[in-house]
Amino acid sequence: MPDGNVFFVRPDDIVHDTIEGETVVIDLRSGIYFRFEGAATHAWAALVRRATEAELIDQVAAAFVAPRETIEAAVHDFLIALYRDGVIRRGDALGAAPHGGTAPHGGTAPHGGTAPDGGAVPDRATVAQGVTVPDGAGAAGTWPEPATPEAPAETPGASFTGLKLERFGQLRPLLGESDRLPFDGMVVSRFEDLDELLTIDPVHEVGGEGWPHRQAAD
Amino acid sequence: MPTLPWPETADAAAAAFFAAASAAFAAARNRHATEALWLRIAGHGVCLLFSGRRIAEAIAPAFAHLQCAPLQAADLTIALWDSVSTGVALPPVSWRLDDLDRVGRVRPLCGARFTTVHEPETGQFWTLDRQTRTAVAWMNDPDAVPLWDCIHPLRRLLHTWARGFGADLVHAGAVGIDGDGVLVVGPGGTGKSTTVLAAMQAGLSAVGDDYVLVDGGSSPGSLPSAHALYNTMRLHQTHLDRFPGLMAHRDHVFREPWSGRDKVTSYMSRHLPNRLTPGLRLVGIVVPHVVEGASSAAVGGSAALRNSPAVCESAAVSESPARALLALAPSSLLQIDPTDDAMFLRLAQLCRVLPCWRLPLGSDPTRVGGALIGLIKAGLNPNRAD
Repeated sequence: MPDGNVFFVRPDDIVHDTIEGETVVIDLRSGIYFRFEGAATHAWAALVRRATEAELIDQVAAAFVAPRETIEAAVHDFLIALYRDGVIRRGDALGAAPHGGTAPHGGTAPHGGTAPDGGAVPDRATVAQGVTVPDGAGAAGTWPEPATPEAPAETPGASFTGLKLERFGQLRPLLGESDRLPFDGMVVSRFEDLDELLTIDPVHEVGGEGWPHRQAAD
Repeated sequence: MPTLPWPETADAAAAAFFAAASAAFAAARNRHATEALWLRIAGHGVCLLFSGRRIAEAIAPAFAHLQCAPLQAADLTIALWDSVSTGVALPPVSWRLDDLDRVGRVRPLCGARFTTVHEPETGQFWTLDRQTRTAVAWMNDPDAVPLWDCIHPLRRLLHTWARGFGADLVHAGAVGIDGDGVLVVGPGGTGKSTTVLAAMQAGLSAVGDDYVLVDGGSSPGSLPSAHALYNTMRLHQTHLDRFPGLMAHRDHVFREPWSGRDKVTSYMSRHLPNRLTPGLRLVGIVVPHVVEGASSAAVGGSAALRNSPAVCESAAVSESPARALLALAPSSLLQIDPTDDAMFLRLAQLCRVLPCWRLPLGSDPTRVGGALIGLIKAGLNPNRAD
């Protein structure tokens, strides 16, 4: 069972916005950036306001049609994917962030479920360009170490002071069964190629002899 | 980390340093003739004062297309000198390591009025006084300035200044026709430059290839515009070969050590002066997309592009604003100012208000221009099915 730890967006150097149901998140410290939509966007909106894993599951289950265990697994993997890269943090109900905490549930997260429409629910939050979040993350009772150092514990009651969240309206209240949307997983596209993309640009190229040297014009 | 406002004491220290830097420039000016280059940037008069010919030769070509006759007053004056040419050193300045933020701002010398930045990657130092609209910039040796900075000089200084009138320097190109155009977005290597050059070949005008200023669009009714900064174009030689007769003169060549391929830098004002325009009203955003390996090339498709020069293969399709933002924001923020959270929201707003398209690129460069003209028409009349 998920514990009572609260998950929240790292308060510094994370920028994000949601446009037409798609969310873009950039970690300005690491250069890693993300895109996701659907139930993942729904969960992200809750994360911006702070939420426990159980609350996230409830909110996704209230808005999307899928077996409860499928949503539980997807939410867990979603959290793992963002937590590993340090985009979100977890702490107790007051927001204090423990180090090396224990997984919200002791066993391996169930995954590999089937969506109501018959489509397979991704086992793990998958990333763009064929990279997949490794198995084992978040399983076996241990949360992965975040990629970035833990920020100082926040003061109780402090709120996320980063960018404003738009489209709170996407947080649907409890809906009737017929109003809920099909659940198609919580896939997180993750891009860590910015260093490469900057590097191949001659503006940033550095040759063996140092900075790019000028050649005589033709 | 907020940059404004700073305590008054910060402005006092910054003012003292600014005065010392100005005095140093004056000393350099007494030793060497000063050259003035007047520019029109986004409708603003900008005067670059160079003390020493070498620094002018390093920086001025990138702005050649914006040159104008001397004006009565400047909206920004940048005084530049170097120590190697003039023998005048930068005034003594010291700071603790933690006084510098990630983009080199020297916090004790920054305030509501002044911004002072040390750019360790280029060795340059500049300080901007918003009140007098004057900046003083120093480098030790112009010949030691990296090529990438010579072809896109003073980026952070100009971005900081442009924020004063609501513009952002973004990593994007812009092309158009009859005053209307599209922003061409994507990280380096995704087909931006090829798209811009193909557009110019087809008779469209270019505002820029890699960096342009963008303003407007953040409030209802305001129209976003792209404004020219640099006339530099950079392209792989193999891609440039697809445009015979265009950009025949190579101003700089850089050989990629990992691929052995040449990447060419040319000043468009020297080769295609009639295809440059100082600004365009933006009616859309285009995300070039390489057809080969398309599934992985939408964002971050650099590997595919490096192996397959880009050209338009099929009709453009609508792109989601979020994907356009994904192509525009990360490289813009991380190259210009990764501490400027609000810039991300401004770019997101730009993607909201403008229609966004994905432009497939394939093997025929002559089709790109026509496709772009069709998109511009569609942007002008969103209800029309083009």
